[in-house]
Amino acid sequence: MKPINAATTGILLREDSIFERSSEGRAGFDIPTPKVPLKSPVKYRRTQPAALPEVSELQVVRHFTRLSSWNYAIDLGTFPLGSCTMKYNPRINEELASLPGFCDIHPELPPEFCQGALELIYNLEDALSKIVGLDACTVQPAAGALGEFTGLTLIRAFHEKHGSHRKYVLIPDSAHGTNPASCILAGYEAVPIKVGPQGYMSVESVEETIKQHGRDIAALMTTNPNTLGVFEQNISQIAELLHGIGAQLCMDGANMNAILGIAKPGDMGVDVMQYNLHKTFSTPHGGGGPGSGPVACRSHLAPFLPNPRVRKTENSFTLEYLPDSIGKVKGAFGNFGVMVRALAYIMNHGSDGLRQVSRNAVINANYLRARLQKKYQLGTQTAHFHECVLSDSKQIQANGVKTLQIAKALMDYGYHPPTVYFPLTVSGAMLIEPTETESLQELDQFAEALLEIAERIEAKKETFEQSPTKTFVGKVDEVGAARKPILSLDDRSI
Amino acid sequence: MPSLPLTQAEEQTAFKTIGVQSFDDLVATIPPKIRENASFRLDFGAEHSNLRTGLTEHELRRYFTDLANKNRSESSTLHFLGGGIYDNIIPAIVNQLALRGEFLTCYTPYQPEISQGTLQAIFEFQTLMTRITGMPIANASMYDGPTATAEAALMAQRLSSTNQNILVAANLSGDYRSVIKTFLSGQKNIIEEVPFNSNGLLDTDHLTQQLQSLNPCALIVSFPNYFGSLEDLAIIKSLLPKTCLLVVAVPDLSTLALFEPPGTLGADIVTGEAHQLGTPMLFGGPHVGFFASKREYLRQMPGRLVGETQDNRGQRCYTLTLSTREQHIRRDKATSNICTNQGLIALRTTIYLSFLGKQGFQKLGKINYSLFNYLTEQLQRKQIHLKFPHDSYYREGAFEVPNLESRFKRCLENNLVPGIRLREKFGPEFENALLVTVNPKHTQKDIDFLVENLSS
Repeated sequence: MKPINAATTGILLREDSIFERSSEGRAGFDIPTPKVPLKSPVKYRRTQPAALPEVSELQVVRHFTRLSSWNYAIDLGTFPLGSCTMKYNPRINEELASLPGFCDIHPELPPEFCQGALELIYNLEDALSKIVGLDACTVQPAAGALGEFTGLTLIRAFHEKHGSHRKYVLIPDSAHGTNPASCILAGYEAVPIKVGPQGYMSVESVEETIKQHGRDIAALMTTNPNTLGVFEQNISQIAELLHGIGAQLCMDGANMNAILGIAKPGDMGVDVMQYNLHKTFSTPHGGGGPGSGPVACRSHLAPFLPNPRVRKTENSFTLEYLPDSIGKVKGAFGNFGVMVRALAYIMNHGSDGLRQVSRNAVINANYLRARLQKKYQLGTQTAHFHECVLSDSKQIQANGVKTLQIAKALMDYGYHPPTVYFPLTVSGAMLIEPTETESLQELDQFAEALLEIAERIEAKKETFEQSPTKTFVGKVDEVGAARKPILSLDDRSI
Repeated sequence: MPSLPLTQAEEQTAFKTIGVQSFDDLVATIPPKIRENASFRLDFGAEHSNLRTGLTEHELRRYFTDLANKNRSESSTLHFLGGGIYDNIIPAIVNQLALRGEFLTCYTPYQPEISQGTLQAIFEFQTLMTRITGMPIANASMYDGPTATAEAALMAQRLSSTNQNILVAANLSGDYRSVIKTFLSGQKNIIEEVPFNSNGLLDTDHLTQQLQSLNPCALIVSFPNYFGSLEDLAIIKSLLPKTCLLVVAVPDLSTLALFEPPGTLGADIVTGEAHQLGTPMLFGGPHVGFFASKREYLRQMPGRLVGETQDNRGQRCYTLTLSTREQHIRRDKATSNICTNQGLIALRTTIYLSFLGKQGFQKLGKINYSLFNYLTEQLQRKQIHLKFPHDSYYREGAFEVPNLESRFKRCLENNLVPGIRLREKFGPEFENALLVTVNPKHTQKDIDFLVENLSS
């Protein structure tokens, strides 16, 4: 099968900034004028009105519709971004999240006026605890990175409650960049653990670090399956080692899409973990958020969870404030709109359906791996789960073509490139995660595109230096953007 | 299941291509003890206990509509709630445009050649935020007002080589203060609150003492404060030594439609919340924080930035820029751990503000101001006064309501939520204090109804 949906040309319209469509005095959206005397303040009054655009409704509609047409999206095609889980987002979720009973409610409503919302939060926290085999959960963190920080802060609160002031968090070198960054924010120093060529942590490497730092170690933080898509098969022994020195095992749940109903972190010895609802439970990524990063934990960490907690009494849902709570990590209850979508997704699938999700995600990734390894070097020989990692070594050898060029070339075939140059442990990494929502036909076409690119490189027909050529804009000068940053319209004139 | 396209026959084809007999071969690296125990049980009330097969779309719609109907939404219950989260009228086109699949289902624009729509929209968002706040630069958005403000404290610490302590106004919203404290809880530095005076405004005498004793790197003030009044930023700024940055949190960006922006009053960093401009209350999120600062702090800014550049055809275009500040490059030396932000909500804000326009934005501020003015006059006639009487309010204020406990209860019985009770947030001196907030959905009649219910 040839890559039939290669990018082609069509009518795409240029569009300047909305400010350049503005005309002095043109009125936009009208707000009803109330029947009360209209007044203006005297004190601190703004003298120079903010220079917002002055445009008509149609101008706004055309502007943003044109802009949207310049984006690649899941709704247009395969989005194989490793570690990001760009799966299809069922549209019923959008409909449910926009119900007035969810949208138009204020978080300061008295609890008896928002029982439905509290019930939803309670049910979601309950489901998220059970799926991973842990005891409690908070849905307050707004995103995965904030969830990581929350998990680590729970660990710190736990240690400090027991009079133990520890310094280090061990992090495998294949970890996502947010892990070490969250670690610093939580007041810890990150100590890297080397991941061997097999693609997972060895018991010895952790043992060695424990010998070196002992009870100064607060926790080990790992993604499982890890960022290479490989299961950390020594995880239980590593958990035992950590627990032996009173340290905690913290898991980044970014890759939960691989193991729903297949393995429970609670059974691996994990003490605390964060989810990414926008990945595993299908909230649209929306050009970079909003997301949600719930944290599930064992009972010994639960007294420190962010306030308030939603509790179920005999016939209602109430709020409880924990005395030992770490405090709030986000305003109100968190990203409630994302929670509606996640619960809808969970109930849409049921426990059997969720297991099927991970099963199909793993099959799809392995299918791609099997097809692509004919022309591409694998990042590791160990079994992959929901994503596979390739290296550009064969293409560099054939004609000096690197991952970046391969990624840009893929755009001309009508695809979003995989995650590139991550994880850092594989040189020229391409991390491919097809997700369970892609059909075998789509995967075949995507594979054909990547294989054809490899063939053209081997035949020394192309170096793809000028790619992409069919996109709305050509190769973007990213270096130039950083040299003299123009970050708003008004910077153009500086 | 409609979202899972792989058929059983295709599964066999896939196994053959992969070279395995069954699915178990693919997950054989999981220790058997873990694999055997992996099932879980989902319970959602008696009707959906042990939910193994999922609900169909229609069953979901029924379940969630029932759940939503257990909430008293704005359409069924009149409310005067605010305190950082505000109701507003949202034009139809905001949903229509923001729900386009090309915006909804795209990713963070790491690949600029196929993400120009998102990138240009963010560039326009950044432009709007700088123009409204009066600051030279703004980023692509933060999770919300509280987390943006906590990030401002961290940025002030990075900018200061010596002093690391932080002062926070005690009349800043409790959510903001709590999030700031949690974000800074991993440090040994001192975070101290600056009390408010008998006018509910920042106690500048006390502030002067604290500046001397703590030598802080930043003071975080709220504009307006939680009691609804506008602080005198110029005076506060004049008290600060050069080593102490003025961080102004604006929990309601629409304030700046009418009032002098912090950027012209000496603010170094301006953060806050912009959800009320195009995104519903949503029980508190997802919302969108904004983050603006002076240009010289650019390299220490958290979050994503979009910059203008050119492509190899000489066309103007946009890209994420200065990413060497960020976690995916700098890891433990990054300016922040933020990765996901609030792209879609920032887009909604951009659409809303574009459509509202220069005049509409001013009108929005004026309507809020006028409604609150009317509310205050009417309540005063019934002997319900502002707890802190002065002349710098925008759209909400704390009122002393005699016998609040019983009057509040009666309001609820009449399907009216008159405001936020402040006793639990600020202590016994606020026993009868109620924070009342207006929004553009309110009519004169609505306010009269509130006054009637609160006063008798």
